[in-house]
Amino acid sequence: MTEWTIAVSDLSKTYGNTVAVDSLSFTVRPGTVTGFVGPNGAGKSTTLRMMLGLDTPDGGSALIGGRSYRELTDPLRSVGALLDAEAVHPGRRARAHLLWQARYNGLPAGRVDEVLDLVGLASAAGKRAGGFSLGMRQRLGIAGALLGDPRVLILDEPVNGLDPDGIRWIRGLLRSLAAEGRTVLVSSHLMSELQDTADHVIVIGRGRLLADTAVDALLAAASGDRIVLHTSRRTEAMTVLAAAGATVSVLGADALTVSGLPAERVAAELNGGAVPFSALAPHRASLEEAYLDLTRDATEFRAHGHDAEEIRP
Amino acid sequence: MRRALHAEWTKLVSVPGQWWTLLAVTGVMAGAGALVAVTQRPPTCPPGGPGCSAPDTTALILSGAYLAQLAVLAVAVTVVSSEYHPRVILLTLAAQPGRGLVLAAKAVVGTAAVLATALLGVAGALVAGRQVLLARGFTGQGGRGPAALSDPAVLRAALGTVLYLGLVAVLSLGAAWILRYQAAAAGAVAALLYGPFLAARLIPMPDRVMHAVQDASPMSAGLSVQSLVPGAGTAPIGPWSGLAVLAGYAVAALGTGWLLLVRRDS
Repeated sequence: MTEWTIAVSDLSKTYGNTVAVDSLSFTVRPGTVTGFVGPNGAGKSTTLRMMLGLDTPDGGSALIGGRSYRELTDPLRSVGALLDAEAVHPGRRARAHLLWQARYNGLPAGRVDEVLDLVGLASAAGKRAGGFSLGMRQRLGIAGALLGDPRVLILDEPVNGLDPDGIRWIRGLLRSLAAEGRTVLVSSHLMSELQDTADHVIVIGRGRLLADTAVDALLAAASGDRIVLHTSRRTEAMTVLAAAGATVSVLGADALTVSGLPAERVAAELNGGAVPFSALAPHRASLEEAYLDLTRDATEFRAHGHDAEEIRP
Repeated sequence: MRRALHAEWTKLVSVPGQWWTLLAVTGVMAGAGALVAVTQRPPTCPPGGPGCSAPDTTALILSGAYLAQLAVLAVAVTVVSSEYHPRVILLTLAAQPGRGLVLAAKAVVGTAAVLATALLGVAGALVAGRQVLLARGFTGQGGRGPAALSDPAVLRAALGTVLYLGLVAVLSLGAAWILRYQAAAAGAVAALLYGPFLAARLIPMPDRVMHAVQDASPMSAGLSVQSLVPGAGTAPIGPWSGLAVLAGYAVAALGTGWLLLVRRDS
């Protein structure tokens, strides 16, 4: 029986002078939702396209279940992918869009109606995709990924364009697919989208691996020994604590994070300085903070507004 | 291959407009055949006399091909360009990573659809054109009647016209694989077909040069298969050699398209 892991090793890709993916190695395991995160232009989509045999790597390999994608027979039965929700002919009806994909892999036409129902598009099956909202096109793309009941799911930014209901729906779907033992890889440029979904994250920046870790471990590392403190007199609190040797940074209008001092010392110093405060608690970093820490140096295009994923030959 | 053909057939018929354009291939061929016949008058000069040439009525009633090939071009280019902008090709190659198989399935489905509709159109043109010619006074006396449908030369012209339109489809598919943009591919094929054809007619040049241009032009050489009067067709080249010239262009275009599809990132 095939172990459906995705094994990326030493994968590299250059477009002209732009290094899109740079000696990237990681493994995605079955039974969990793995987030694939990085700023725009980090090389996520390029990596996913190489996994699916759409772009040819300059070096290294991406194997699914031990084989390259192009070697799979009836690949939709093993791997389902959503790469670009816009990849639908606008004149084609939703049902026909899925039907031709099913026929390429010998899947029964009945399966098309099943997945349309599963993603909540049963009533739009006969409508032309050109009239679909982005959210509906995402659902149609996800329906296509589920068509062959695959063991491996690779979804590029599936949350884009979904309304809050849709986001809740896809989170539940991804978790249940992973609980069935499937391998689920979900990319996003927003870590917060994965906060309640992913168990494991792979973070890349400028085509290089920045982190490959369990979400819990990442959060613990980012939280450190910091303490969150709420006070209406922020400036005074900062002065007092800095004098006591703590490192203080602003978290919000009336909130600070403090590191370098245990909680009791912080309380004692504030009392001593007659600075009023409430809620003193260990800081729990959001996934977003952890991610920003990791990618601060790797965010290549933030200031210029370019998107390297658009740089294509 | 059967699955790929089934899938590509599903794609072809689910793009709106493709049925209508295919219908136009038949309609234009048959309609133009009848209309052109209406404009003809039997010559009044003595047959075989000096300066008296009978019109090649078979080529005339098949002249709808000059226009119908544009509908063929549109159908065939769309079969491929509908994969790009937006990039449906990502899904196609994810479902079937074999590039050659995808290209072959599209070529078979697109060309077969064109051949079928062209066959109906050519048959319609022959039947309708002949009826109109007879009614216009082409009575058959003095070798001036429309050639019988069973005449091998007429059958050659008819079958050749169907094949001509099928080869235009292959050429268009190849160009679309190379250029990917619908407008670019359609423009390039139209320029390749009509450019040398019109140049040979409109630009003054020595006969020797003009004949060389005609023999090398896919449209002039290809349509010489319609001519029943030796030396009076669109090119001096023989009928089947003329079609072979067009086939050369078509195979070269599709082959280049295949190479690019295999080599290029999707």
